[in-house]
Amino acid sequence: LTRGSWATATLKVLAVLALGVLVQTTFGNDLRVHDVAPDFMMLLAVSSGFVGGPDQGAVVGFSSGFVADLFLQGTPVGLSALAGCLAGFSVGWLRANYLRGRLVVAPLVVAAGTVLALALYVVVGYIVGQQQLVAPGDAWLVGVAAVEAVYAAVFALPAVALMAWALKRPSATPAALSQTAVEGLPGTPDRRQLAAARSPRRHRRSPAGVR
Amino acid sequence: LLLVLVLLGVTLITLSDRSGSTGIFAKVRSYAREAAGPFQSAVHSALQPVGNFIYGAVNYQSLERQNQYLREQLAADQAAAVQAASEEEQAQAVMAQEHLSYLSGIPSVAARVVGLGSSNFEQSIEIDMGSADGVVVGQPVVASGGLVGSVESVSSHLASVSVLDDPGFTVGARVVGTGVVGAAVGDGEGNPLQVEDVNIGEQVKKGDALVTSGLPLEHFPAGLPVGTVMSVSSPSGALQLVIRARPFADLADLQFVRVLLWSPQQG
Repeated sequence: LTRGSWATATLKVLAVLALGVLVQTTFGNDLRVHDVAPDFMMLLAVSSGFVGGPDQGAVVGFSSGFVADLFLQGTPVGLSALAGCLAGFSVGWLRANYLRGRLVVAPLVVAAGTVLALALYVVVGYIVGQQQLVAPGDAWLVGVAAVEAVYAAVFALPAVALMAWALKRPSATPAALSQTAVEGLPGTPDRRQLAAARSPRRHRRSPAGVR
Repeated sequence: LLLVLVLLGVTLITLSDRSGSTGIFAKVRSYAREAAGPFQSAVHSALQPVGNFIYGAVNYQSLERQNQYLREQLAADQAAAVQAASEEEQAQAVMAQEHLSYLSGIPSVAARVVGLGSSNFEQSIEIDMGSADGVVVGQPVVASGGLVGSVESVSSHLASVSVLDDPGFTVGARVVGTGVVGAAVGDGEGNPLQVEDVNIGEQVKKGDALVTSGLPLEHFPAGLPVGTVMSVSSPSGALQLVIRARPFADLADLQFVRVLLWSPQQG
């Protein structure tokens, strides 16, 4: 990406995250099922990994979690950021290595990524002394995970499309956007490229006369 | 890149944890809330009809049950001429029994509840009063009935209140009519409070009222109604009673609250 298109993508991502947190803090509360609200910020974090690969998933996931952290009060700043970063990276890595080109699995992968983000949030939070996260018990945590996963699956395709728009170059057309959502961003390494990068000797022909 | 972000996250968590509720991170959070406030109102107004529709759809069973329950309740009330006193009356009765006047002498400001906390892991509400109205972090918040919680963070015209049933919320509580003191701890939305640190052998029974203890280092004035004891049990081998209490205030339906302009130094 050129500097200009990088800046444009950054602005678009920030706009999406700002919209996400506004929707989370208002509309999200209207969607509560058994007192559990969807987690739109983690949805955006894992969607960015699904669209942009592990690196962009980590960066956007971190940013998404950080923005969410600013609107919480009982947990330290950085906890959601860390969970979003790791979840975005994991989903991006999974997509780049095993699921390239399969948009149909987006709801499943995004739902699993959201559950992973929740688990990381609770486990890391517990480790750093946030015992209240596990106080209501395992059954309640499973309920939260189930509701968040269902909501993530429902909203996965719009979130992936939104992130594809935000992370795409400014000259993107609607057709290119859907192509981005299906194949990931240009420059996102696929499984063969990653394998080749790990073992360059296998693809290099030895000069004649040299063993 | 991942390693750098993980280290950055861990650093932020550490610094935020150490800075407490009045440090730089609390200020950043309050500025973020302040900045988002007008946009939140706009987004909420725009999406509320959709939200209400979806809420009605996904909670249809629950609403139907609630409707049925309310019909039965209404019929029962009409037939039995309503014996139970309202929560506020109950709290007033507790105060009268203790010869205390509820909230008298403590200045307060009324506030409207404008939102709920966005996390599934904390029970909090947003109110439309902030530092410009004299609200500061730590002040007690009450509603008709009794204690609701305390101010957790504040910006110019908004404040976040940590609610009594938040798992991280603890308040010293005294059983009315006895000298028994324990700690009432939140246990998640809709769940009864747990009253801890009451030794086996202490005289506590179902129906006893709890008020804030007001002991030194407490963040609440003495005598605010907290809740009613729902159950008391003493498991074999345990050293302390297992006590559950229902909050006096209706935490599920908070629309207006009062912030007590009180600090522990005044107490």
